[in-house]
Amino acid sequence: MSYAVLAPTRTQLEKPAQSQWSKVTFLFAAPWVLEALDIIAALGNLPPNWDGYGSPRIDIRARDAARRFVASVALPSLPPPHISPVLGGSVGLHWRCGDRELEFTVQPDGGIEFLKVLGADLDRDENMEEGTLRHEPESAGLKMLIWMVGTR
Amino acid sequence: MLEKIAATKRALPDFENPPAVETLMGVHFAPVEKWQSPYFGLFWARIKENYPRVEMQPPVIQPSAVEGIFSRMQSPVEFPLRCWFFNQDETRLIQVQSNLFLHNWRRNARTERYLHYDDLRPHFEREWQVFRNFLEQERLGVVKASACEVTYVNHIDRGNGWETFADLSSVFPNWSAATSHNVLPSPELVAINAAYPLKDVDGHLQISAQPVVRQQDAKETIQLTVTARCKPSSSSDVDIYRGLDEARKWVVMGFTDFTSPKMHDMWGRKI
Repeated sequence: MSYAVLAPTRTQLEKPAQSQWSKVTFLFAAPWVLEALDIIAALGNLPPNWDGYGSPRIDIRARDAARRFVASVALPSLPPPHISPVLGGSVGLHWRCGDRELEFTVQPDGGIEFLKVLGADLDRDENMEEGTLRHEPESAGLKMLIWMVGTR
Repeated sequence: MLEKIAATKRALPDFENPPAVETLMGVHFAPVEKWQSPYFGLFWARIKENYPRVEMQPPVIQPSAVEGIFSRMQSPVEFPLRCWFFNQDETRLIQVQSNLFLHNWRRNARTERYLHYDDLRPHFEREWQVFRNFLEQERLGVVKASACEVTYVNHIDRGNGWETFADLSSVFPNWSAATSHNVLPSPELVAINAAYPLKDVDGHLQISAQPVVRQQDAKETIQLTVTARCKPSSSSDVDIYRGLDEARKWVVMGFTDFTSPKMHDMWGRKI
């Protein structure tokens, strides 16, 4: 006999379900969020050619999209991301948890590319996955981060 | 102070630009014993024309009801669920679970104006009647209402009346950043939770001020949630609507009493 199993997501387990519709991130649960948002905003102060290779300034649309992304995926158990400017005016967000890593590149058009890494052996194709988050990028990114911090 | 305001029986406070971003009203009731997941779809069929999108959610569980909810799980495949039904422009939402019916309204980019309780209650009444008729026609039983709830969710953004958490006393007069010996620096985060019994009504008012970031635009704000729950005299529609009116009255009076006159001026208090 087989049973259907409905597994609650990690976010559902970590906080009680709310009857509120508007989505917010509680700062007591993820106090690093404010600092991360400030760091992303400060990338706007970088001058053109900030890398010495002719890169443009970090686009405001990339910064806004990165801020929304960070605010939307801030799981309580998630460590702060490493935030960096990326060639072409994008914002890079990098998380590592044990032998799992996730890298998101938020582009000026708001698109988000990802690189997912499992384990140290990068020569094995099955240890890496890359692609673009197209539909509801915040939800898709959250699922990946749940995978990253999940039990192994 | 709440009692004093109630005693005056004057018209409720009203604001030109209230900070409310979402309001909800609804009814808590004894679990409908025969409710199973397929009934969500059957109910949706009745409202789909006006609520074309649906999402499954984990249930809202009151702490006192946790044991009951899980002990009633008859089957290993039946997990308690809640269903969200969205209207066309995603400004209104109906939430249904086996012991709860809620109607939410929220501001969004397509919202033309703030909708007052008096604008929204007719919507609630209409959908509530559809739900009651559904339960009756599907022979699922009658509603045994336990509480009428009204909640207002308000966002007070940083820069609108406060800049640091030490300033919150100018938003909430009952809070102070003062300490006994001035050893502690200014707080970097502050949250307030309070509960009040309601005068002459079987119910409670809960107020919560939490520092949050709004996911929609990554803005930092204080989320002030004011919830009143009143026990209705009976499960009749008249008593349920009366209970909602009472809960709404206490939410408005509680919000006004909990926040400062300076903020009332900013929000354009009319009455």
